[in-house]
Amino acid sequence: MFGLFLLISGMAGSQNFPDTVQIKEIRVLAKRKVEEAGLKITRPDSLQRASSLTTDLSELISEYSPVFIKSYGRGSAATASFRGTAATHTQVLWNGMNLNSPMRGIADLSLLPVFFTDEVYLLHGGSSMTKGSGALGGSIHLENTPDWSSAFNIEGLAETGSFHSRKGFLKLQLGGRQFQSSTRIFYDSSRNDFPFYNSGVIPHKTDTLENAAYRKTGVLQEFYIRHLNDQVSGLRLWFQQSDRDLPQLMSYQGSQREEFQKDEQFRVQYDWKKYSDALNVHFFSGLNTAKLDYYRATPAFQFVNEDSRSAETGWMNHLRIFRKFDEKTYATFSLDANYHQVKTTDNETGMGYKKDRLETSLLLNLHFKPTDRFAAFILMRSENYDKQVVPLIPSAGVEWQVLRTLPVVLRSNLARNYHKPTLNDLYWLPGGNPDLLPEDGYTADVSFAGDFVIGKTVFSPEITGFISKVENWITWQPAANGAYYWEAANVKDVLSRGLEYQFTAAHNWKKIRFRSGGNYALTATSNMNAVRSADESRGKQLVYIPKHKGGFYASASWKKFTLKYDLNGVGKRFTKSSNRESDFEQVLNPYWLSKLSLDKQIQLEVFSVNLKLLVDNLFDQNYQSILWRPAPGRFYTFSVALKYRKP
Amino acid sequence: MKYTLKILLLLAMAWSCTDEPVETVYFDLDAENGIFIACEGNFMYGNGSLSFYHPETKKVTNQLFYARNNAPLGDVVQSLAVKDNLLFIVVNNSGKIVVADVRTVEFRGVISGLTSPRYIHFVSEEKAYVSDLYASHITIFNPETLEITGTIDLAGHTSEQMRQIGKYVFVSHWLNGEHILVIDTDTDELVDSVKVPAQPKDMEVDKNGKLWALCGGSYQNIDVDESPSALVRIDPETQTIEQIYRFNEGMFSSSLEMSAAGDTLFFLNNGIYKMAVDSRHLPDSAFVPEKEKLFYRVAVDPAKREIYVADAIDYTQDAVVYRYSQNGILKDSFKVGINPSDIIFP
Repeated sequence: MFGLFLLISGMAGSQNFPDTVQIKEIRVLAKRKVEEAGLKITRPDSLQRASSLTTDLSELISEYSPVFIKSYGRGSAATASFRGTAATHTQVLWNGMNLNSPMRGIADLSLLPVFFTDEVYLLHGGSSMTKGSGALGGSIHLENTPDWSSAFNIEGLAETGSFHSRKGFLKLQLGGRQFQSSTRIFYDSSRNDFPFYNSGVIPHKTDTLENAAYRKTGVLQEFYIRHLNDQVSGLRLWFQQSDRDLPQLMSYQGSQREEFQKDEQFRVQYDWKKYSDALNVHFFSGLNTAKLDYYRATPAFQFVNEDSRSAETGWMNHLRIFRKFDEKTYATFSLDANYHQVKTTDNETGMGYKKDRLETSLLLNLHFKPTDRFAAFILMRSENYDKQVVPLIPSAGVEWQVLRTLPVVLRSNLARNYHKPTLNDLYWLPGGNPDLLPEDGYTADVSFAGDFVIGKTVFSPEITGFISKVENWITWQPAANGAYYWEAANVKDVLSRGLEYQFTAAHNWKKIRFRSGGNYALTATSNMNAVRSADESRGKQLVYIPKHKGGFYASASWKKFTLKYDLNGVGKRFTKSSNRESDFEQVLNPYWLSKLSLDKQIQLEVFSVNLKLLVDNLFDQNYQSILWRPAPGRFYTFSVALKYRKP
Repeated sequence: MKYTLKILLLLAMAWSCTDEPVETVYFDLDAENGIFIACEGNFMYGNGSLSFYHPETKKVTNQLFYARNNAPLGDVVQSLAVKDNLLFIVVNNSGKIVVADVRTVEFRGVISGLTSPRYIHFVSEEKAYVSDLYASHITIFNPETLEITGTIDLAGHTSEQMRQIGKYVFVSHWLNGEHILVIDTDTDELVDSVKVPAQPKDMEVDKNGKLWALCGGSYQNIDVDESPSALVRIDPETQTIEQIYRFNEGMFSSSLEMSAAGDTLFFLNNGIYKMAVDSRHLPDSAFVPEKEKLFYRVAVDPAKREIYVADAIDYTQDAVVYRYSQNGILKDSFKVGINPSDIIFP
C-alpha cells in the first residue's frame, strides 16, 4: 500500500521535474507565516470543507486527513487518533479554547458540526505544542472569523436522507466594516433504523437497527466589533443539545433495553485582538460548560442499571503576544490560566466524585527566519496543575527549502510533550488513582512538501515520517487487588512510528476543472512494556488502531455541475492486544467505502441555489467499524442550499 | 490521475475479496472426561467464547461455538451448566442463555429476553433458576423445553450464585448487596435471608453440610467506605452465621471453590489459597503464589483433585490456564479465550 503511494508521488514528481527546473527561483517558504514555519499542518481546502459542510467534524477529518477516527456509527460518539495515540491524546480547540472534557479527556467529534466553523486545521505531533500541551498525537483547531466584506448574507440548507434522516442549517450574517453579527443554527436528526445482515445470532437474518435514533440541535452567535483600526473584539456564544439512543450489539437477544445519552454544552468566549506591524496581542476569556446524562434500564424488568449525571464547568483565559524584533527574529509569549470544576454522580450505584483543577501554562516561542528559504523555532512550555509543576517542556522545528529552484521544503519537528491524567483517571470512585503520573511523550517528524505548478496542473504532495514514544500510558483495567471494579494505572510504554502522505491536485482541461486529493497513513503503534510472563502483546499493534488508512477523491466540474467520487479505506484492526486471531472469531477486516455525489449550482445574480445528490457506501459494503456493531449499506442524501449575499 | 484511480480500484477489489467464508468444524467431544471453559471476552466487544480441554490428551480446542455454528456466543460469556446432554451457556450482556449439544456443540436453542443473566441452578428435570445481576427476580425456565415458566420475586435484591441444601436454594445478592437469600424450591418463593458482610458472591457447601460464602467487601464510593473481604460459614439449618473470617484491608478475595470431598476451600487472593474447612484461621500464605501472573478464576477437578487457574494476562488477549496437581505441582498449561470466567467438569 505504501509502495503504491510512493509510486504515485514518484510518477507525479518525475513528470513535473523537468518543467520546474526551468523556473529560476521559487519562493515556497516565503509564503508561509513565520509562526507556522516548521509545523506539520493539515488544512482541509474549500472543496473538502464544502463537501463536508453538513456533516460533523469526524467525517471531515476521517475523509480528508490521515487521522484515524473511531466512530460508533452514524450520529454516535467519534474520537480521533493521531499517529497511533489514544483519543485522550487529541486536543480539540475552538478559537484557542480547549473543548476536551477534563473528566474524560476526550472531545466527541460527532458533536462538532463543520457548519459552525469557518476554518479547521490539524497540528500533527509535536507541532501542537505551539497551541497547548497534552496533544501527544495532535490537535484539531476550529476557528471562527468575521467576514468584513459582506453587508448581508443568508444561507439556508436542508437535507433529507435514508433512515428518516433530516438536517437543517441556517446562517445569517449582517453588519458592515465596523460591526458584524453572525448567527448559525443547525438541526440534525435521524431515526437511524437501517437494515443490516445480522450474523451475530442464530439463525443469521436481516435485521433492523433499533434504539439508535439521535437528535442534535445547536446555535452559534458571534458578534465582532472593530475598535479603531487595529483592534477587534469578538463575543461568541454556542449552545448545543444532543439526545442519542444507544443501540445494543448484534448478538443481543435480551429484553428491550432503554439506553440513552444526553449532552448539553454552553460555551461563551470574549476575544480581543490587536494588530500592528511589530506587535500582535490576543486575549480571550471563555466559559465552557458541559452536561452529560447517561441512562440504562430494562423497562420490562423495572430495573434501572445506571442513571449518571455529570456536569463540567471550565473557565479558560489566554493571553498571547507576538512580537517582531526584526525581519529575522520573532517571538511568541503566551500565558494560560484555566479552572475546571466537575461533578459526577450515579443515582443507582453511588459512584462518582466532585473535584476541581487549576492549571496554568507559560510559553515562550522564538521564531527565526534568517533567509527566505530557512526558518526555525525553539519553544519552551512550563505547566502547573493540581499544585504539581511540570518541568520545562522543550520543542523545536525547522523548515528549509533546500534547493532554490525546486519547490520542495523540508520540515522537521522535535518535541517533548506530556498529558496530565484526566479527573476520572485520578478521582473516579472506585478505581481512580490519585498517584497516577502524567503520560510522558517524545515525538519527532520529518516532512517533505512540494508545490508544483506545471502549465494548468497544480500538484502539492507532502510526505511525513514520524516516531513517537509515550511512557506511563494510562489504561483502565480490572483492579489488581482482586476487587470487581476497574482502575486506572500507568501500564504501557507505547512506541509509534509511521508515515503520512497527502496530496492535492488540480487540472483544467477545456471547460472542465478536475480536482483530486488523497491521504494515506501507515501507523505501527505498539506497547513495549509487556511484563507478565505469558504476555504476547509486546511489540504488537494496539487494538482498534489500523496500520493502514487512506482516502482518495476526484472531482470534475463543468458548467456548475460537479461530479465527485470519494474512496476511503481502513485496514484491519485487531481487538486483542496479542494480535492473535483465528478463523472462528470476528476480526475487523479491512474495508473500502465509496461515495459519489453530483451537484448543480444555479447562480441568479446575488442568489445561488445548490442541489446535491449523494450516494454513500456506493457498493453496499457489509463492514464493521467497531466489533459487532452494524454499519449501514448503501444510502442516499439529497440537499438543497439557498444563498443570498449582498456585498 | 487515471492510473492512480485504476490502481486504487484494483487494490480495492483485491482487498475486498479477502473475506473468505469459514467452513463449519464438526466436533465429537469426550465431554464426560474433559473440561469446558467459558471465556468472558471483553465487555461490549461481543467476543466471548467457549474452550474445551481434555486432561488425558492435553488437547485444547478454542472458539468451539463459533467454529461449529458460524456465529458468536455474544457479549460476556459468564457461566456454564450441563444437564444431561445439553450445555447451557449464559451470555450475560447479550441477555440470553445459548443451549448447545454437549458433545457436538451444535446449537440447540436459546433462552432470550433476559437482561443480565449470571448463573443457572437446576432444581429438577423441568425446573431451573437463572440469577440476574440487573433484575430483582430469579427467572424460572424448563430445561427440557427451554421455555420461561415463571419468576421469583426477590424483594428488591438481585441475585448471583445459587447453592441448594435440602429443599432450599441459597442465593447470594452480590452487587451492592449484603444478604444471602433463601428460596423454597417447593413454592418458588423467597422465604428468608441471612445478613452477611458486603457483596457476597461465590458459595460452596462443605462435607458437614455448611454453607460457605465469600464476601468481596465494599469499595469506596459516594455512599460507603471501603470494607475488606470476608469468608463466612453459615448453618443452613438455623440460617445463621457460625463464623466470619476477615481478610486484611486493601486486598479483595475472589473465586471460591470446594474440593470434591468437601474438606478444603480454595480461593484467590493474589495467589491460590487453600484452607481446611475446620481451620479456625485464614491461611497465612498462598498455596500457589501469583507472582507475575494475573489470576482470574480458580477451579478444582472433583475427580482428579487437580487445580486449574486462569491467568488473564492483560485482560485483552487470550488467557493461559495452568493445571496444578493437588500438591501444587504444575502439570500443564494451555491457551484459551479472553478472561476465563467459569471452568466446569461435566
